[in-house]
Amino acid sequence: MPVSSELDEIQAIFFEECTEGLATAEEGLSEMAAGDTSLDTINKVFRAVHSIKGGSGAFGHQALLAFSHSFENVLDGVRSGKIDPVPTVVKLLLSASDILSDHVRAAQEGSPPPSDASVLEQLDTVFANQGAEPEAPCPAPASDEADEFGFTPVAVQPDMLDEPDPFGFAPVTVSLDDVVLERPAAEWAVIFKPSRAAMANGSEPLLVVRELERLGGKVHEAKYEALPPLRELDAAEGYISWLLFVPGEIAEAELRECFDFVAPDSVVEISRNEPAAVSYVCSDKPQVDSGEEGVERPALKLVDQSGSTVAAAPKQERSSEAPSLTIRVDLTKLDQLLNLVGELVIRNSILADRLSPADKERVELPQLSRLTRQIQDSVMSLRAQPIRQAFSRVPRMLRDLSAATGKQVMLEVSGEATEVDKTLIEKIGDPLTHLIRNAVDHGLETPEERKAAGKAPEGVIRLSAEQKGGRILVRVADDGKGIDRERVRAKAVEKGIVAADAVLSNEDIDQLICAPGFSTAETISNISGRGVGMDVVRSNIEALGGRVEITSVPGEGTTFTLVLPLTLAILDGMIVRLGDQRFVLPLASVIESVRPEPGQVHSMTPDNEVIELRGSYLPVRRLTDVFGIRTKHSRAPEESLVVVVESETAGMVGLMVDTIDDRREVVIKSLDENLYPIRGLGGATVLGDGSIALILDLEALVTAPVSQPLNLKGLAA
Amino acid sequence: MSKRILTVDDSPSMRMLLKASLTAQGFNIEAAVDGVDGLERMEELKPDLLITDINMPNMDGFELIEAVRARSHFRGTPILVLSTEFGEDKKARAREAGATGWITKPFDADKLGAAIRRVCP
Amino acid sequence: MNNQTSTSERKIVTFSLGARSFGIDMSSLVEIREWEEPTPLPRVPTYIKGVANLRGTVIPIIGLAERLGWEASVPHSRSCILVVMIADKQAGFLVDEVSDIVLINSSQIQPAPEIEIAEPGVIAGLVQVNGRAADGQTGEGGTMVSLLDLDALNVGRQLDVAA
Repeated sequence: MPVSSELDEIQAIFFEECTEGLATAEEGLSEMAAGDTSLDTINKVFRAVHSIKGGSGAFGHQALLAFSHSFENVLDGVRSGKIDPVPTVVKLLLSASDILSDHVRAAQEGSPPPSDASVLEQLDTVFANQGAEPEAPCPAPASDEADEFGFTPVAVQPDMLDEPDPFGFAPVTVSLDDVVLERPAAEWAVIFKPSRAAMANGSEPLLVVRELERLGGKVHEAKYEALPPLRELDAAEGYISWLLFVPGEIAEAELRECFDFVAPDSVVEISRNEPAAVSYVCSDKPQVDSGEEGVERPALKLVDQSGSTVAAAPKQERSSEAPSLTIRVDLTKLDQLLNLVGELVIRNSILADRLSPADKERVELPQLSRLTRQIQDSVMSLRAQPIRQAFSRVPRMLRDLSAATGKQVMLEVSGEATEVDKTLIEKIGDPLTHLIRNAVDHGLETPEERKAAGKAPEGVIRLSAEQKGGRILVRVADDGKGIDRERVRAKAVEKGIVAADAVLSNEDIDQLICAPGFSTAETISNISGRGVGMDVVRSNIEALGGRVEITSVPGEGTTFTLVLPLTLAILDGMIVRLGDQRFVLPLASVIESVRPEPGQVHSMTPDNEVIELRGSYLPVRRLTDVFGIRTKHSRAPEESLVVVVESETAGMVGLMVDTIDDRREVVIKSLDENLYPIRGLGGATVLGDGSIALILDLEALVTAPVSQPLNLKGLAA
Repeated sequence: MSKRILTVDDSPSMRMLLKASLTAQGFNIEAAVDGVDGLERMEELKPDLLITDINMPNMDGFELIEAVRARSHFRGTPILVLSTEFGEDKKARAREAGATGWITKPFDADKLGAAIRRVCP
Repeated sequence: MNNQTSTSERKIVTFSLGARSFGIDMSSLVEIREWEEPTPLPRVPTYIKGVANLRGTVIPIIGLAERLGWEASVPHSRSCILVVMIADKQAGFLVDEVSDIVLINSSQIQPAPEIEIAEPGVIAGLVQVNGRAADGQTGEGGTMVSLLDLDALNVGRQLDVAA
C-alpha cells in the first residue's frame, strides 16, 4: 500500500477534483433548471457526482459516499429516462448539489458531516418511485463475494442452454452411479470446464487451475473425450474439463473466488466430500439426475441469470463537443518555467542596455525582444483557465442570500469561458463574493419595493467576464436601486473622508464607498460577515494590478467593473529588511540564513568580507554597499543576518541584511513598464500595505563590483 | 519480469491511487485518461492487462473494451473493469463487450492484486 | 520643438519650481497627488527620487527641478506630484506648487530662448498666462510660463552620464 504521505497527496488531488466536479455539476444543474435537459447536460452532472462517489469510497469518507450514492442513483435514473427531470426534481437535485458540496467540505476538513436526512429521503423516494429498487450502497471491501460477476456454481441444466451441449460432457449433477473413488479426508471436488466465451474474454484456464493448486488442490483428471479430431478442432473452443480435489480446510468462499471471472456459461461444479460418504464420480455420460444418496453438496446457488435478456444500457449519445485534448501539469513546474522566462526577459533588457547605439539598431535585437515577449506570453497563458471556476460558488451564495433576505434574485452569467491566470481566479473569489453580497444586501430592493417601483419582483444580477484590449473585465451588475449618493456623501463627510464643502462628481462619490474607513458595522450584515469592506476589495484588486470602476444610475442599478491585467507574474519571495526598506529575494535561491557569531565574519580586505560556515568561507556582500544605501551607521555583522543564497555564477554567497520579514508570493511589477531595467533589480512589487519592495536580482548582485552609485550632478547651468 | 498494466480512469486521483497501490505490489503501471486515450496506449504499450473504469467522457469503458477486443492482437489480453457500479446488467454488458472480470470500487489493494494474478499469466 | 501644429486651444496645467513657472499640456496629466516619500532606487540618477505605488502600478518619481538642472526641490506641505503619461509610460514629477489650469491658444506660444537650460528641447515655448500670479493677485501682466516638452523629459531616454 502506498505510504500515508503519498495518500495525503493523492487525496488532496481528489479534493481538487471534487471542487471542479461540484462546479461542473452546479453548472449542469443550472442549465437543466433553465430548460436544457439534453443527455449531454445530464451526463455531465452524472459523471461529476459519479467521480466524487468513486473517490470518496476509496478514501474512506462514508457519509460523503452514502450521500453521493443516493444522489447518483437519481441522476442515473434521469439519464436513463426513468426519472423525468421536471422542475421539482431539478430543484431537489440542486439542493442535493449544495449538500454534496457541504459533505465534500466536511470530508476535507474532517468536521462532522452536514445533516442530510431530509434531502436524502427525498432522493431515495424519487428513486424508489421510478420502479426500481434503490441499490444498497456498495458493501465495504471486507466482504468479497457479491461484487464480482461471473462466479457461479451454476447448475447448467440442459434446458437452460440454447442448444444442447454438443460435446456430450455432462456438466451437471454428480451421480453416484459409479462409485469409483475413495478419498481419505474431507475435501472439495471441483469440476471445471471453461467455455468458449470465457476464453474469448481473455480468461486463461490454466491460471484458474494454478490458483487452485496454490490452495493445495491437485488435478486429478483431465477429460479429453470431447476433443474432436484435429482437423475439426476449433482453437477458440473449450473441449477439456478437469477434475480437481482441493483440501477441505479451504473455505468454500475462497474456493469460489478462484472462479470469479469465469463466465457463467463455463462449467464449474463444486461439491464436498465427507470421508464417510465417499462415492463421488464424474461421468462422461449425460446425467440429469440430481443428487444421489450420500453425496453432500452445498446448495448450488444460481447467482447469475445468464440467458436472461440483458437490459442493454441505452447507448450513450456521443457528446457533440469535439474531445478536448488537455494535460494536467504540476503548478510548481509551471511557476518554475515562468520564473525562468521572467529572468529571460530581464536579461534581454539588460543586454539591450549594454549595446552601443549602433548595435541597438541591428534588427536582431528587436527580434530577440519580440521572441522573448512571445515566449513569456505563451507561458503565462499556460496558467490561464476559464474564469467559470471563480463563478461557481455564486449560484449557491445567491440561494442562501435570497433565502436570508427574502429578496428574489435571478442570476445571469456570461463569459464564463474567458481565460484568466489561475492566480487571478483564486484572488478574485473574495472580492466577487463581497460584490455579490453587496448587490443583494444594498443594491436590490425587496419584491414589494420593486413592484411599487414598477419593476419585476425578481431582481437580476448579471455576472460577466470579457477580455478587452489586454485587460480582463469582470462585471457585477444589479438592476436595483442604485447608489444613494446623498447618503454616501453624507456618511463620507461624517467620517471625515471628505470635507463638507468638497466638490465631488458623481463618479467621485461612487468611489467613496471604496474609501478606507467608509464601511461600518451597518454595512456588514449577518451574511456579509467577516468585515470585508469595499476598501479591501479595492486594494485587493489594485494589488493584482487592476482597478475598480463603478457606474450607478439611481433607481436603475449599479455596475461594478473589475479591470484586471491579462497576465500576472508571480514570484515566491522572501522579504528582507535593510534600513527601513524592504526587498524581495527569490525564495528558490535561498539556502539558509545565519546570525553570525562574533568573529564569524572576517574582512579579508576593507572591501571584501567572508563568512565562515561549517568549514568553508563564503563571500559576503552587504546590500547597503551594493546599492549605495547610506545608513546612519554600519551595522556590525552580529546585529545582522546573513542570508546564504545560491547563485549560478558565483556559487554560494552570503547577503547581509538587517532582518527577515517573511515569505510571500509577490506579483512582479516590471520596472521596465514605466522606467527602465536597473541592474541588480528584478522588478518591484507592491506589498499588502501599499508600500513598494524592490525585487533583487541575485546574479547581478553577487557579481557586481562594489561601487558607488551613479551620482548625477545634473545639467546645471 | 514485472507485469505491465494499463489503467484507464478519468479521475486523476483514482489513477494515482491505482498506480501507488499496484506499483507497491510490483506491477508496472501506465495510465490513460479516457477510452480514446486508452485505445491509443493499448496499441503503444501492448500491456499484459487492461484495467478500466466505465464512466468516462469521450469513450466509455464498454466502448473501449469492445474496441480493444475487435483487434485480433488483443483477443487474449485480460481486461478487468474497475468501477463503482455493480448492477448485473452492467456486468453482463461488460462481459458481452469482452471483459474478463469486474471489480467493484472501493477496492482492497490485496484483493485487486489477487484478482490481477488470477487473470494475468 | 513642440510638434503640435494645431491652432486650437489647449489646456495647460501651470506649476512652479522655486520662482519659476512652468506648464504642461493637460492632456498628458493623469492626476495630481500629494507628496509622499518614494521608495528609493539604487543606481539611478539623483533626480530619480525613487518609485511609488500608483493604484498598483509602480511609477518613478522625478525631482523635476533637479532634472532641469537646478537645485533639488525640498518637499513641503504644498508640494505635489504631477503624474503624467509620456509615450505610454507614467511618471510622477515633484513640483513645488500647482498653480492653475488655464486655457491658451497655440498662437500665443513664443519660441523658447536659448538660455538657462543646457538641454535643448525641454522647453517647448513660452506663453504669457493671464491669471493669478504666484502671489495670489490677479494682475494684468500675469506670468511668463515655460511650456515643457514632455517627450524630452522621457525617463526612458538614457542620458549621457558621468560615472
